[in-house]
Amino acid sequence: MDVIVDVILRKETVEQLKTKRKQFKLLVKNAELLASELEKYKELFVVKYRARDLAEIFLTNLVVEKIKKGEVDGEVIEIDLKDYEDKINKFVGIVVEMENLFSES
Amino acid sequence: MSENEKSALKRVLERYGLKSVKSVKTVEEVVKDADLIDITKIDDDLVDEVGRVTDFDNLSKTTQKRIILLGMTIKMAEEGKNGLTLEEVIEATNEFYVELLLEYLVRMKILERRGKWSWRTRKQCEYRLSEGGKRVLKLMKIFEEPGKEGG
Repeated sequence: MDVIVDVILRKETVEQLKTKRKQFKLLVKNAELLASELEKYKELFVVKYRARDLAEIFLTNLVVEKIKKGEVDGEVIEIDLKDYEDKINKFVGIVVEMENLFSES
Repeated sequence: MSENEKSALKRVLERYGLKSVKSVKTVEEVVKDADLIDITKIDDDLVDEVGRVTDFDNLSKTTQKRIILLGMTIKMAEEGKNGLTLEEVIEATNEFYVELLLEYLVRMKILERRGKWSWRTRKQCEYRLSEGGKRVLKLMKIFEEPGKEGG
């Protein structure tokens, strides 16, 4: 499943990266890899927008890293999540730890 | 406090507009500031507002800033012990994840309001903040590690 996502960097991030462009179109290939991993824990994510919020954080950080590496030269960025499965698993794993840390019990 | 830490502290304070840069000389001065470090006092100020909200975005900007400083100040107090270093906290505030951590703080407040959790002791609060902060840093580092895409 391919999806297109708008990524808008914060002012501070734009300043840190010393980049002029703050908005990008992200073509995400195999987006289901991230969606399905987050879906596994939907019962844990008690805040309604949590999964979407986390996906946004994950994707935005991929964009930031690509900018840092000088791999971005236009408005449209293509990312295949097959290349990031390890990062997805680590990311979701740590978030789950945090959800548990701040749970009621 | 090193020169790097001093300038980093100044940057953060400037960013959140809580103290004039000239008036802050040491981390200890910030920690001693009751407005920033006294959890009980901040609780009183926050509780009504937090009780009404369902997510962090609905908090006023002023309240968000105060929560940010609460978390940061605790980390500063812990510097050199088991908590994050000042530099690490400041690094985190430059990234997206700080909101994640702050949202958890607000969630704790909401749970407390509903009688499902209690701050009980300052230690308990510090523990969650400290552990949460460490995980925030872990999240940040994930993206710095080379992956398949990096060859």
